[in-house]
Amino acid sequence: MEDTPAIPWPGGARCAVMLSFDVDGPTLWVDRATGRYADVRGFAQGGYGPWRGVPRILDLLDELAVPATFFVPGKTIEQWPDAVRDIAASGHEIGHHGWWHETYFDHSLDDQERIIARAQDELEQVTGRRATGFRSPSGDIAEGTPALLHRLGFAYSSSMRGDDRPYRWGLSGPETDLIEIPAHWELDDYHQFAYHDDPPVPVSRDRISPTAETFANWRWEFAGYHRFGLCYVIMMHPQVIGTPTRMRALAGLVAHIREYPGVWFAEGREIAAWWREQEAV
Amino acid sequence: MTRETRPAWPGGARCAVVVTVDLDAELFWLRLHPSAADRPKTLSLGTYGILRGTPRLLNLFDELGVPATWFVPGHTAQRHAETVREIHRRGQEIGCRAMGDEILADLDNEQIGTVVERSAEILRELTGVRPRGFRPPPGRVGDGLAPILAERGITWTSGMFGDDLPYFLEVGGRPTPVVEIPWRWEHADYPYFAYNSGVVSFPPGRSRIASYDAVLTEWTAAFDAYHDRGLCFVLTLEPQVIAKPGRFLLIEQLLTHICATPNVWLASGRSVADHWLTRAMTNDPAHPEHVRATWLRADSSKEPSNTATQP
Repeated sequence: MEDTPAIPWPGGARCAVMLSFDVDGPTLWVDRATGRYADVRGFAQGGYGPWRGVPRILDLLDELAVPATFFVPGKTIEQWPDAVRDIAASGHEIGHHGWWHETYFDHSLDDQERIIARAQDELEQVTGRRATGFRSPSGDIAEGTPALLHRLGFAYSSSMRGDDRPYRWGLSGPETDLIEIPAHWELDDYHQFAYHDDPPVPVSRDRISPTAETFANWRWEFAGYHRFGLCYVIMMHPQVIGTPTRMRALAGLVAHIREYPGVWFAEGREIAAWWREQEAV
Repeated sequence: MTRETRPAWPGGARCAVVVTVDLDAELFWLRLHPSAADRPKTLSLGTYGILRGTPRLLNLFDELGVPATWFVPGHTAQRHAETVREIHRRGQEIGCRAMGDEILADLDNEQIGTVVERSAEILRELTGVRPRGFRPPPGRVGDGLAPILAERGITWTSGMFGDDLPYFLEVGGRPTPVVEIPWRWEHADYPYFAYNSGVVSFPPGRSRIASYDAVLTEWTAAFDAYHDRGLCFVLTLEPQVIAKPGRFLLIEQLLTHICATPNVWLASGRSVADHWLTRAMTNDPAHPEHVRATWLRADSSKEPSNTATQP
């Protein structure tokens, strides 16, 4: 059995935990070609994230004293600069997440580069720093996306689904290679909870998962990640997880995780840097 | 008095359990949309089953002594030859799943024969053994499969429904020596758990991922009920789905419970089929398989056609 963890996490930790928040805001509810919204109600669902969700999340992270990684589309940065500055000032990492939360698969590499440049400029203007982490917005990346990220100086991507620990993309030597920190749908709140009538979310208008059920799944997963000594990445969206009910459930999950020995709570950039160092040796 | 009779299982066991694994890997996604081939993120969902899922399941099966049957599509075998060899080296049965991307009902008999031959040969080249079990890839299946399979060394299948016990596949109202070990959707993992967003979405309506606790409760209750009635419980797993770190714990608990239950015959599909062949080669006249095989006789002098009518 794979019971003895094979990965030597820092400080003798048994597993890593990356809490991540995709601050998509209304970009999920507008036409990404034009930026127009067809429904003010959906727009408001999105706006709830940066407006109510982000401050609550930052308070919770302060209270729990754990770091987190926020992937923020350029348009959210432009519209909610104070919330984004607050994230940065609180010491958390901010990663790139498109301008309009574009699906990179549907864009040429030149377009992808333009999207990245625009959002990076906006982030630098607001926080004084550019992102070194990338998470693919809205589904698939294109074949050439990782090489583009590498050329543009990103340290890591957190987009793929094919492993439960980081890996190297193999694009260059060990000191410079792009690191991947994979994530999984079963640890994504949006696909469990988001709901709307028109446009229908999810497309089947399936039931909303009860908060306790999804958080119980996340506890099962944590138990597995801890047992095998892996890298547990939760993908959350402030517009979904930022409700009073789910904030309380998240606090409970973090407290539950803390009952396990040897848990390393880390930002994406710390995990990537550490992984690079280990494998470079 | 009960209307249901209890079959005798080897060694006086009360029930049989067959653990089946569908090693579809990337093919699970490639089937859904032609663009999946160009989507590294979507394909990586399938690769996880090869990289992490299969080794984890093999270790668990070793530890608990579970003789599972792994249905490997030809496409998966070509892409992941070393994984197929390892499954075979670990003493697990490997079954045929055609090349994996065809809808059998859309092929004529000759085409089916070609596909079965090709995929069975790919497995034989990797393991040295011709597969004897067959599970059709997802999608509609037409009539007349049994003789095509039997001609190519297939002695049992697991692709049908209609019973909780094995039975004999029929052609033209007569049983063939091909044993069917029926499965059920609700005892498979992917209807509860498999998920992808975007263009290559699954489920198509993007329903929520089910509660792990509810599914473990469901499967545990199902096994207990099959055990109680003395039936053949067939579990269907996909490593990319069930061997995620958290769900692995779930299947470990279920199989530990099954292994700790007295009088359970945990067997490969092949062993169950061989056992069934020691019985009289006949189905009850009211069995859905016999009724299907005689369904259109009253209306037509021809053999039943393989064109299914949509409801």
